[in-house]
Amino acid sequence: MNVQRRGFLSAIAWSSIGAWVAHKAHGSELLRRLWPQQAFAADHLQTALTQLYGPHKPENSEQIRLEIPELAEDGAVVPVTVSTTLPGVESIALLAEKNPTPLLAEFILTEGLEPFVSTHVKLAASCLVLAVVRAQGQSYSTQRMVKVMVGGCG
Amino acid sequence: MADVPVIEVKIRSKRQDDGSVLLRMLITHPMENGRRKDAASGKPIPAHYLQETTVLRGEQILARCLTGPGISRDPYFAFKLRDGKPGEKLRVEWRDNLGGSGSAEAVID
Repeated sequence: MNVQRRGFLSAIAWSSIGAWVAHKAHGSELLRRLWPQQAFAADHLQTALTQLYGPHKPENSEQIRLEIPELAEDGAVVPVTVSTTLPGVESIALLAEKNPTPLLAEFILTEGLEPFVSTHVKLAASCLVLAVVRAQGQSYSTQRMVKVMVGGCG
Repeated sequence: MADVPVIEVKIRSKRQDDGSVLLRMLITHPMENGRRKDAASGKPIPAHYLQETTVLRGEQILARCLTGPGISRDPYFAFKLRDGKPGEKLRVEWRDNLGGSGSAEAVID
């Protein structure tokens, strides 16, 4: 093996170790992070997403399953379940486009749990509901349109 | 704060066909978003909502629920524990925006 090739392989090895360390460090950082005040205060969906995930828009993924009724009679209590087959899940967030503050919740999950969460949310009006999954440092999303009969004052 | 309600946490666990344990929590909390007015007095009702609910196994954090007022009144959260053993103790700790806090314990069935 010549020196150049060895250097190249070594660089690959170190960068993948670096990525792994960064991934682990990110996971533990999520366990310590304070309640994300600015993301919860954001009054627009895009602002909330930028606060949580930075300037890169979450990539649309078919590996996320978002279960929510298409028609919600009472916007005060809408059951939502999210699960995913994406590996290395760090968090699952739920957002409602038309709520006064769109970020509903961010669930930080560890390896002891399946990549699954279920909860009840308020929807102020008929709108898109997004599930955003952060996995291995990348963010992915899927969305559903929900028709709300009586708004739940989100 | 005289008007702080009694807050309780109920935790239930149920073993699933895939071997995981479904962990369900119900927390009694008003989840006021600060935009409503009291029907009798017309005064605004201050925002009062859970901000953080942590699920622990011993000292190890399993999950953190970071929440705003968009979660329904009396919050419900469910997770799936990969390797929950019968008799294992779990603890849930919560904290709200007005400084209220509490915890509850559960044993896996």
